[in-house]
Amino acid sequence: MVSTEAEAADETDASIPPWLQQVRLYLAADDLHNAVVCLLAELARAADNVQALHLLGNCYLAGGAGDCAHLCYSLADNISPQAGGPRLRLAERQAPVARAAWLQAAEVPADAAALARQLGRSAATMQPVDGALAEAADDAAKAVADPLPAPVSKEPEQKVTTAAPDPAPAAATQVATAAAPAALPIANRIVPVDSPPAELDAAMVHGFDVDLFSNFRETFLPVAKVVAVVQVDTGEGDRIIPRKWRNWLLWRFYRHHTLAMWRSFSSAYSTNDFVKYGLWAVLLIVASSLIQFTIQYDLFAGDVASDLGVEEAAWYDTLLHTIWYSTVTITTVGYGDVSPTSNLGKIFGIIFMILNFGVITVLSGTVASVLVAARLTGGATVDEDKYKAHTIICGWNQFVQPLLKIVDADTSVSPVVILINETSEDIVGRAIHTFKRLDVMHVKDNYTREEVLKKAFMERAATVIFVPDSSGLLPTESPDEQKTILAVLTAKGLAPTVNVVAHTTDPENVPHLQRAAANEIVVTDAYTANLLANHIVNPGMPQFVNHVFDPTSQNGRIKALELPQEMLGETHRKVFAYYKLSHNQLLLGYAVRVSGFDLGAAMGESGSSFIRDMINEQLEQSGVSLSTDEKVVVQVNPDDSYVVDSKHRALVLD
Amino acid sequence: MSHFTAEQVKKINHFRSLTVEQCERITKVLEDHEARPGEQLLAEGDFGDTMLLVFQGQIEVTKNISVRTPTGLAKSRRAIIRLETTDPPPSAPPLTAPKTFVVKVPAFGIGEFALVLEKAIRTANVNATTPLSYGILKLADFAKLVEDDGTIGGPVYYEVAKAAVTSLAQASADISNLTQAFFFSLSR
Repeated sequence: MVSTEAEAADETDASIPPWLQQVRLYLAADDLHNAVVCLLAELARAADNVQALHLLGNCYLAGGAGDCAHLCYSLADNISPQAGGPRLRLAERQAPVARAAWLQAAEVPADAAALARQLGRSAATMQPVDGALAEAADDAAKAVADPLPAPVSKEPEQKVTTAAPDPAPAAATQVATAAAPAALPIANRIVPVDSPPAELDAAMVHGFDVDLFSNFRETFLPVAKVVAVVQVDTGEGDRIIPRKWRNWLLWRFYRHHTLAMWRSFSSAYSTNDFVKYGLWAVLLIVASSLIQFTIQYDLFAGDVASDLGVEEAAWYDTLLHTIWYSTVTITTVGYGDVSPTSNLGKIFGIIFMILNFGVITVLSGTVASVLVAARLTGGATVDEDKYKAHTIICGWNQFVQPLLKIVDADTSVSPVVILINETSEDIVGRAIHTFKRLDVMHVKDNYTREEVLKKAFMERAATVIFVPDSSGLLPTESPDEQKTILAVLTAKGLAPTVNVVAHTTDPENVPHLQRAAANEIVVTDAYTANLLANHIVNPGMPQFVNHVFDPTSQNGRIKALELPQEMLGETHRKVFAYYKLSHNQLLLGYAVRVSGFDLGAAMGESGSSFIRDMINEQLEQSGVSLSTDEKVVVQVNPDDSYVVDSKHRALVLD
Repeated sequence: MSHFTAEQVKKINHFRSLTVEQCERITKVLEDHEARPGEQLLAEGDFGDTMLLVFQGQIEVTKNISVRTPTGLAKSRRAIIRLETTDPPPSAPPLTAPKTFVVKVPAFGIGEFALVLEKAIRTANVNATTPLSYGILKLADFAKLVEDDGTIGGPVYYEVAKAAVTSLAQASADISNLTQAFFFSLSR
């Protein structure tokens, strides 16, 4: 049978021309003779019909006339190289084959020369590419000239159709090699891969089916290199692919896809807690249901019959009832509509409840963390505008809650806070649940990783604070402050302009944090000795400090305020008077934003460009930015003539 | 006797204030030379008592310098500038594409400090990048010309002094930039 699938693949029924419909009917009936007649008629009408030429070539190949097939493919290739090329190459590699009886009919050209004449082409168009093909053409011509047809084996035939040929596995090479010899005039004999030689001595090369080969190649290319497709004509009108080979290909095909699915699943199982614990929960529900359904069928069936008011419950109602019971129990919903009464039922209930306790707990936590992660990574529900000028606090220790308390009390800063640490949700949840103004989000992850900081929209944050992380530590253990330094480096690498405040308990870390480009560094306990000493030398001063820094103090707290527009450009004397007289606030000094240093601007155009370029290049290669960030410095009680500008904020005692 | 003409010598900045006759006297003591592309004319750190007068071709001025590379400090030769004659222009395109800017002048001189110092240190490498036609003016020959005709020395020494002062100002700015960069690096 000549396949037309490839040709028909991209057509719709409505667009199929009448001649093709007719040809397909003939081909479906395996009537190659009439199919060829029909195709020749179509080609007489439209000589450049590539599709018809392909089909005609296929018919001739199936009929064993490789020379005619080659001519058809050559003509098609001349008209449309891309369309005819693959077939032509296959035809070129094909050995001469036995010719079918229908080729001897008068209205069908039996050789390339006759076909060329009928198609109105020069026989020279056909270019036999190897001796085998030329010899086949000669033989065919002789057969036509000779009144006696060439001898054809009268034995029950097993005609073998082959399409061959890339370099190959041994088995397939065996087919191709056996098919290659051209010495046999008409009936080339081959040795297919899966048949005993004695049986196959009678086998005859019969041609090959190009489209079948193409289909196989497309289907199986991912799993096997198809080097030949063999069709066996049983002599009774049916051609089959040798079963063993087909089964091997199918087995490889399904194994490939099964393995791919298994790999995807095992990857999801190992990396996604949701998949892992969800699977366990489902397995436990299924196991519980099946066991109860099997062992306690009568109890459940009776229960269902009672509910439904029938004498005997159907098995599927009973099965659904056991699944319902298992699900309600294992998910800890516990409606109580079904409950074990027998000892056996209670024992099973206990076992499954214990087994599933951990699974459901972890699954609930995983679902929550997946939802949080989805929000932070830009899920459908995230309001990205919300994450602007927010605060990020990386790490967890005893200072975080008091810190949040102060931020909560100050309405001038964004209420959005993202906490990134590896402390359990319970601990963090308890610490933050009292804040009413703050919108705190907890990301349980490692904040030294770039992607985690990116998820928190770090580049848009107003301030990122790194504190020594006590996540997972015992009260007697000290946090690893190298983590803070590494995280500051990561953060400044990601967003050089973001304001990074680093908290350390060890003054020795200060130079490292400075090198990591932290904007501000806070050293805990740096003032403890001073406070203690002042209890001796300046009694009252430590109490004053405690008072002004106590967030619960109603007055006497230090605040940093934006200067009113009318005060810009005025002297400190006037500003001092303004705050005292207008607001009864004591102006202590100013926090002044100082521009960073820009080396490029400092060098300008001075000196030789050669030196300037080299400095820029070498600093950039060393990862050193050519400019420093803006800093905040404090001017305490400056001279009366000190002039303020928009870079100043007033530090006042309320 | 050089085949270069007095008019060609007069196109060079250092000799532009001389008369044609004075330039002719210079051509008489000039040694003609040719250089192939890639040939080194001056080597940084060498001492010399000759000035090169380039009449046709292009040269590249480079400096040896240690720079930071992924594998550590490595000596490198960095291009500073290329000089090219325009009258006549080079007879062939340069051997390599320029990595720095190219200054085009009718003709130019290099190593001019050798006209005032017996052992002038060469401050950079100079290589031909195209076929080069140039003349060599020796300190001894030029000193003798000045001795014979004092009016030759004034304009030439004036141009050399201007070049020296310009170089000095640029070196001072370079030191300032390098110092800033040094302290800036230390503070990071």
